[in-house]
Amino acid sequence: MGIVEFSQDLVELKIEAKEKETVIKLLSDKLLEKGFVKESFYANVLKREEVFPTGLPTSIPMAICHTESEHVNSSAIAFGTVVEPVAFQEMGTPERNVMAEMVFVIALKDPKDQVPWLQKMMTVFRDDEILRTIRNASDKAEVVNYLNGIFS
Amino acid sequence: MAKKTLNVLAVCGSGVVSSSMIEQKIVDNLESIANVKVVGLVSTSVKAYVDRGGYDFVVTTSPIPGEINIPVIKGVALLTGFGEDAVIEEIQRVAKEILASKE
Repeated sequence: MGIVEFSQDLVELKIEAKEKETVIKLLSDKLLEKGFVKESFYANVLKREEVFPTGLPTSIPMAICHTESEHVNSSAIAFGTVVEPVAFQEMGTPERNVMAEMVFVIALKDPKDQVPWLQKMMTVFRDDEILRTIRNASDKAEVVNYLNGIFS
Repeated sequence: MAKKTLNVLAVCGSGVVSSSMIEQKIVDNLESIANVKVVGLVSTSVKAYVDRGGYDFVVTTSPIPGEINIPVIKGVALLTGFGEDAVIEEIQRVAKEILASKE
């Protein structure tokens, strides 16, 4: 219940993408293939991103894309890094862009179950060393172990 | 004297992820001075909730549509950590003003 595990099936490293849509689609499709989200998930993440963007100006910029829980079957999180930074609008300040170097696509069914987990997410955002480690990862198994270690 | 209650709205674009993230931050930084009740909410519902009454202030990671007649504090820094102290100070200042007005 409380823990959302990272898995290699839901990770893609060094994605070649010029636009955020490419990254969001690739990661959403992984969630869809495994049945964590509904067909409607991707379109609604994108729609949300246009109105309420999720780019975060962290020490290594990132985006935490997500949407309403009605498009989610069960909680999971997909993660990707990109070869070249991709523009996302900044959360809370949509007129600014952040050049994201990593993207989390978060599918949450009941956030109440995952509050401790979400709190840890905030630890990750502000720890430069953790961010650098996951941004530089070149091996899926390693980064999954590392992330699950942080969140355990 | 018993602590007074503060009713706070934690708001984001989906009402799911970042609102849940900032809820605990709000509680942690106010529980010494008040009973804190936080409701997580999607930004498009804020105006209706506020107009109905009973809420003291809003902390949000998203722009909120409509005119809101209670204090609105931008809370993205609670996620990133950059500028977080200033946001926490603002939350505490607003909370204290509201508590004082409830005397």
